[in-house]
Amino acid sequence: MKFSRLHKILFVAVGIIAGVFIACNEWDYIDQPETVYLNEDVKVTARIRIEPSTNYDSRLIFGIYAPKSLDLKNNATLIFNTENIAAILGADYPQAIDIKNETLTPIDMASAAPDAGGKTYAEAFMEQFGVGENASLGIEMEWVAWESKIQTYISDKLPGDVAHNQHFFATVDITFNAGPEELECYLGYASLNAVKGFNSSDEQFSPQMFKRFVVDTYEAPALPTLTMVQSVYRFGDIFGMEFSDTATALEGESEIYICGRATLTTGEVIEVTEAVDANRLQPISRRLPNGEYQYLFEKYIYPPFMFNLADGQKIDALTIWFINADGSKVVTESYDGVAFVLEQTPGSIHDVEEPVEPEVPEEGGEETPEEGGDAPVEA
Amino acid sequence: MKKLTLLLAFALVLGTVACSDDDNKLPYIPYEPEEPEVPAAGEDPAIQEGTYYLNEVLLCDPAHPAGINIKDKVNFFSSMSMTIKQSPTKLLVSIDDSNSPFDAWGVELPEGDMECTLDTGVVPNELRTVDGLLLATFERNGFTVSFQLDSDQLTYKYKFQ
Repeated sequence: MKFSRLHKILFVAVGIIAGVFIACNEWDYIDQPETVYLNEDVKVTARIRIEPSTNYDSRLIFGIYAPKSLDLKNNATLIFNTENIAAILGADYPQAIDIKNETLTPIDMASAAPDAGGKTYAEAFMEQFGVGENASLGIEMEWVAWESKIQTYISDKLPGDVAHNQHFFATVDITFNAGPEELECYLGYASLNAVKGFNSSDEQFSPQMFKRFVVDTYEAPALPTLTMVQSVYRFGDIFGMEFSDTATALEGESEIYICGRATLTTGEVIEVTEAVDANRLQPISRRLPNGEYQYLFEKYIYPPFMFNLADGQKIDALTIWFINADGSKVVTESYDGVAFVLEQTPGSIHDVEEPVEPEVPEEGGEETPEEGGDAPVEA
Repeated sequence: MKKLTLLLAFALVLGTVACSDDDNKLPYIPYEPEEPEVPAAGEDPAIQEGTYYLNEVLLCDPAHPAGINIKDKVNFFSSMSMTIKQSPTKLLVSIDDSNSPFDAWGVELPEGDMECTLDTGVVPNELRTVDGLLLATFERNGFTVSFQLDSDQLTYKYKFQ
């Protein structure tokens, strides 16, 4: 029998249409970060749109193709939820329940897979879902799978053979640790109905899905020795600063104190040089994206209080430095050689606005350029 | 028998006398005319008193508009409190800011009670002295005092709760 060109086209068209209508599980989305850092906790959300085509019982099997070094079987937690099943079918079918926050159970991948012709889970997953674009990467990878222990019921029909034409949704929230090794691969995701198993004649598999995944080393940005917490402040304000002892003479000191030299508007100079409680910096820590901590010191000062100023005295210039408890170690500048000269920002509530007089150009006179304000802060 | 009859008759008479004595004797209740409660001079009746303690000091700057709580980052805010005494006729407020190195209200507050009014016609309600000085605003979670010290871009907020 010889097929005409028209027949071939018809066969292909019928195949495509059948594929579209028979497919039951579709990925609604997979929200997975492409790049994470060493030892970072990774969170992935996979949402499956279930298009029920016949009446059947359902129990989820969910698989992930991942590097063996991640040891997902022991390192990952999968939380399973469903939506719409009870709302659409629950009134007519008591077994049609929604699953709420079920922790999926790891499957022994060497055990026999359901309806898979004697193949193990590992073999059945590999045959059904493959390895995606990982084949050429040379990374040792494996399919790992989990199953729901709760069975529910999904159908495209209500009693009386009435089609409801609505989707059900299954969401799996996956958490695992990125581990201590750099890697680059494509994580694979797969789902199927445990009740139907790997019967290839029954299209209850999710489509193949592989997403690029990179575990990289986090390089914390170099910390400046002194960082002002407030980007704007004046010497009559309370303001904060963070001091990093890294690569300074005070590195490793448990107690660090702030000292300062204030030059008043009158020209008088006042210094604070004592390592007393009021001038001690507080140790603080900050969690970095890779889970590590950055350790710093913090200090908030109110300069009029620090320098014990009387009413009416004002600071015109302020320089600070840092010492250890016995004053034997001093840091007067950042590791890259910048002295700690604080500069206040313009705009005081005590500024008196002078009335603007209308400009009267003098005959033959020249315009006087305006004087600039204070320079912006650079600590 | 005659002796027993006599004893019974005597007992009856005694009982009758005892009963009639109780019925006839009214309890003595001395008459005391009720005097209206008059508070001592200068004392307001039914005063309710509450103390609000400084819970937060927020430092708000353009990068941190919701504010950073600096109450425990400097050592002069620890003992600050606000006491409200309220009666049907008066609202008295005293603020203890004796350890603060600055006057958040722009003036030195008097020690002791200040007579105040709570303006409920504005939102948030305003607590003012009778001289018109705004002491605090009152919101659901307590009193707030907003002020500036030097920079016009920094605002501080005391939160009394």
